[in-house]
Amino acid sequence: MNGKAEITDPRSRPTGRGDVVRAYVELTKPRIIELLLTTTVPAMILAADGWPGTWLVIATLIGGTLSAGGANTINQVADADIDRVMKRTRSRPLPTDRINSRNALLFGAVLGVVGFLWLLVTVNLPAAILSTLALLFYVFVYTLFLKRSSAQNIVIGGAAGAVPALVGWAAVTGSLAPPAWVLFAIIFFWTPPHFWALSIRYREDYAAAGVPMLPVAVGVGRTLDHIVAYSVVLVGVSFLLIPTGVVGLPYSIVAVILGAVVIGASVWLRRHEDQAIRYFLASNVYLAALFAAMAVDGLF
Amino acid sequence: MLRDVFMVVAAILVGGGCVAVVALEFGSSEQRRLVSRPRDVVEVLLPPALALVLVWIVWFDRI
Repeated sequence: MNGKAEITDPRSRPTGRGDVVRAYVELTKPRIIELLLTTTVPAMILAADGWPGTWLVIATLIGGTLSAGGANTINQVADADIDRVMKRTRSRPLPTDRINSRNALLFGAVLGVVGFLWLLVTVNLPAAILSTLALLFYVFVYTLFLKRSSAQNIVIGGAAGAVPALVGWAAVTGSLAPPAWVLFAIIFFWTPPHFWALSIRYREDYAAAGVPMLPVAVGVGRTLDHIVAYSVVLVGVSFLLIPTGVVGLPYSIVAVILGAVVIGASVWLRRHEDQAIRYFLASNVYLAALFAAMAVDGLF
Repeated sequence: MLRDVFMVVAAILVGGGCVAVVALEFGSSEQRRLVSRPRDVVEVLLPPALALVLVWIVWFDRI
């Protein structure tokens, strides 16, 4: 049984306060939060048509971090049984018994509530509501409803990860406009190819855990076809930001170059499926570079 | 001018990509078996539909 192996795992059972703190931080998945926040600041810059103010940016990022951290923590509580089975996730705090589920759930809920209150007090109501809706969507729609029952889990569930762009926009303007929805759509259509590449690499893991990720449900070949199709939609959506008028030539040039690279990479991946992790990592760079281009375009 | 060009190119890419997504899901009998429930159909068609709605919104909203 896995439990025995986990108890003898050197990472099990925190021995000091530092270990406990580290385990709680790990629960929030800081690397994913980092990427979410990468999309928030450029959205704020475009909404403000310049720098929106240092305090507003910091306050929005703190609120976004709290909400996303809460969502990630509650997700790990709900998925603890899956995480115990999968090699990629079995060293997380819950499968290794470094934190118990009740404390983790409480921690996640507190982060979510504090995130909402923080955004409400320091930013505005629309940002607070959007951030909390993303948390609820991630937990209830993605984790509890779609993840174990649908091959489209990451397609629909990816909407939660796209909300930080809306939060950023709403933090500045108090409302949402077409460019904000384009930013949302860029992340929404970036998410499936990104995670399908990861799930190609770990498909045995997902199959063992009973999670019907696309490569498990329809095979690797069909998944690679889906990656190409979604990459084309993604590049088209990234171009949609230009006619909205919030970006100009610098973004246009970068979007064309990155778009050619991302479609080219998706076609290349069809012949190099063993390189799925490289595609997965490159796809992170694509999103970060695209949003960085928006930020630079919006500032200068 | 630049904006109009990108609008058209974006519409072509989004439209083409959406057709490809739908074709992948419903193109073969084997694939159609996997999307037999109404819920599956909604889940498969929702993202392309959202993309096309967004194109429509930007098309009429553009400066």
